[in-house]
Amino acid sequence: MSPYRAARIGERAWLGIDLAGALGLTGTLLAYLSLSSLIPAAVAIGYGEPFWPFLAAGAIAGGGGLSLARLGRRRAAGPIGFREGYLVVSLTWLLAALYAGLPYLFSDEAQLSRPVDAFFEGMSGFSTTGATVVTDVESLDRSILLWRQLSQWLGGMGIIVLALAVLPRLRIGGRQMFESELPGPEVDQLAERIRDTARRLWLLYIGLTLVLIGALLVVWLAGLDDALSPFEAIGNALSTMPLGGFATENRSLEEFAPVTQWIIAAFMALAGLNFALLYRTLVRRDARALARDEEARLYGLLLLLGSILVFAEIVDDKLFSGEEAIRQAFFQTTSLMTGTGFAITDYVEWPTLALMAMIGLMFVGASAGSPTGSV
Amino acid sequence: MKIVVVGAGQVGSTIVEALHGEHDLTVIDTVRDRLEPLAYRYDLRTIEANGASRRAIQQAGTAGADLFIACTSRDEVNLVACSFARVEAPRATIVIRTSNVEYIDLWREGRLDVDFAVSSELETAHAVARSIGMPSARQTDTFADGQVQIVEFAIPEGADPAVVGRPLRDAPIPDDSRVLAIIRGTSMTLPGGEHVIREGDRIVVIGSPAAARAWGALLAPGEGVVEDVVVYGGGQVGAAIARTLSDQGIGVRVIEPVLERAREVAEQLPRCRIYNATGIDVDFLERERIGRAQAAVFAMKEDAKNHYAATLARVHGVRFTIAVVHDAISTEVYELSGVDVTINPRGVTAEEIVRFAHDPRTQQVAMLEGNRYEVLDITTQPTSEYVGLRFRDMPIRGALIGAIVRDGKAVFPRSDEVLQAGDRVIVFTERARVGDVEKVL
Repeated sequence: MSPYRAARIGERAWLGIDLAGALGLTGTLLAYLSLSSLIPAAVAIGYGEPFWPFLAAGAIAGGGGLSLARLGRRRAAGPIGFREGYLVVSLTWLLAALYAGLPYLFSDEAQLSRPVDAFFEGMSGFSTTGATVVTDVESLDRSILLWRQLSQWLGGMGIIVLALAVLPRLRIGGRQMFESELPGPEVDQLAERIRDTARRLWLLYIGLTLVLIGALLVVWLAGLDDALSPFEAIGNALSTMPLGGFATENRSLEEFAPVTQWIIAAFMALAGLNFALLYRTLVRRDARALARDEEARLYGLLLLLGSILVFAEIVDDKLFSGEEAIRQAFFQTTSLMTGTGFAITDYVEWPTLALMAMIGLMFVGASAGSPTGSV
Repeated sequence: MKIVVVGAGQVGSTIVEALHGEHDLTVIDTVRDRLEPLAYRYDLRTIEANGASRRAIQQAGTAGADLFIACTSRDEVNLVACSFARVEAPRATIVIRTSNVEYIDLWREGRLDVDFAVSSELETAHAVARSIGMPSARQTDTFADGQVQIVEFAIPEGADPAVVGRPLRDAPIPDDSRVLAIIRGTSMTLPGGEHVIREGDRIVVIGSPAAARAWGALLAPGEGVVEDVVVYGGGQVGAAIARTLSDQGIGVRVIEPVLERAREVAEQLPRCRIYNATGIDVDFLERERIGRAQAAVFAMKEDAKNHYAATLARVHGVRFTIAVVHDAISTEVYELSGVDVTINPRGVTAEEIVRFAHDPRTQQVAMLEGNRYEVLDITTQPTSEYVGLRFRDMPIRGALIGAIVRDGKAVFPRSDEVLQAGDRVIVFTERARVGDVEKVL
């Protein structure tokens, strides 16, 4: 009866892990994830670029995933437990990064032709780290560039949370998968069922991304930013929301007009909040949800203080003045604190104290339950 | 159905186990260690808070709940939680668990604004009383105002060979009864005429009270009417058991180690004999000839003490022992050491409460074998595909109808009987199929 007894039942073989069950679930996830290669393939066709790298990567991931899933179906011991959950998350993470690297490898792109570089780029993408081995981003094919951005976006809210939201029952009893995916000590459940909670988080994420794309498109339509095109608007939105930091230009976001930089900075700051809190505030119209939350208050306070300190330093150093100084300070502080990694200037040249402040905040990071650093 | 459960102890987790999957559950408890195993095992929302806090009740979404269950072990918390819930959700069904008979009386008088009050002590006492009336049974439940009994028997060695070891169709099954299930190890069969009962099986039988007694006599011959019962432990549970039994005209002796409590119980139960003794003192057992009692009930607070006392009582000659379980795992320990019937107060309480989450047409539920199987009492709809069929023509799909209640009278249908719309059927099925059964009927 109930959990007391549960510990004894379900004896599992080797390592105490239901390996087949975990592999099977990983395979299912991978098979579904392989569908994501269709988007850059379509973009490639649109731009007249080679599309087969994406289809090949999708076929390999899909085929591999399905065979793993078959194995799992035949040999699995029961529902996924704690240990299996952790294994599934780690394996999915590794395999997703490999999968993300495949199109780079198959493309004849010289900068990513070494397997280690391709895998690095894939891992950096799905983990929303934002570090890159590509020195000349602008020379990449449009489709490859979009795949980089898309991998960050998918990794932002997490492919496992996505799977929980959209896939038919995954043989998962409780919330271990969900929790091992999102950073932070506690998951704030927005609904009775994990599936509904995951769905709400993803819808909010998609919604905010669309709003950001829309805002950037308005800037483009109004002709306020010469450097911006629809491709850049979508591409940079896809890496802003997950706090990823892949840019579509060599000099990150430096080329863009102030208004674009302000918009992106604002969304970075927003995305650095706990999404469950954001959901309560934006969707449930509970304005006090954010104000009541201690972490959100601290996050806001640190962001503000950090920006002011950096602002004072760079003005004192006569690097910038007026609006530009405020924008530089806010953008750079937000970008580093949330772990995004966008840059609008070469801030390494900035005074030491400002750098120290920003790097210090980087460790404090964004809120738990935000997309930063999740799979 | 949206259900809020306050309390994740044994009652709460048994309820959750029975209801997960089909319902949207939110569980409130103050102790994280009780919530976590549930959260990781089942798909539900947990809230770590005091159930007596209005904020927690609101946060749990009580306003949109259909059923609110307050089942912590503390009456005060349950009462406060229920009163907040009533404010939040005036239309929800509210069920309170209480250990105080006073509150049950208050509820019966209509002074307590809850839809149902369940007392662990009373439920336990009733379960004990049912078992004593049927010594060879592992579990008994009554349906349709006592007209129908469901009994689970463990087939002992040396049971009447007339029913054991030959196909059911040739066995002299008592009139007005039917074998609903044969459980062998972990597998369960819904038997037809060709199936055979073997020693060591457990069977579930449905029948009239007379038929149930006939089954009891068949399986464990020589056990007559019980007149002398010893109850170990005069706490709330023990006192409730003693009262229920003595109300049925059974002679009850109560053993209570604490002098003051023994005096209290003696005042409350003038018809029982109360001993101030430990119950494990051999001189005492011999002097009072405890071994001559036909049955002994062990209702002390510690499982280990119950276990030892029960074994000692068997040594002294008590043939039939019933032990109350506080920790679920003790069930197996008791059974392994020869205790005949174990009763888990939290389990029986959960069983009472769970029925509120069923289809409103379902009137009563019994759980068997640690709630792997359920017996439902459900009213058929005119649209059911089973209405108008003869019983012999009904396909068996994981459920078996054992009895029908027509115009308030129980009927144990023969194979040529036809099911009519509006009949209440008493049906046995696996827990996982309860939803299907409710849909089909």
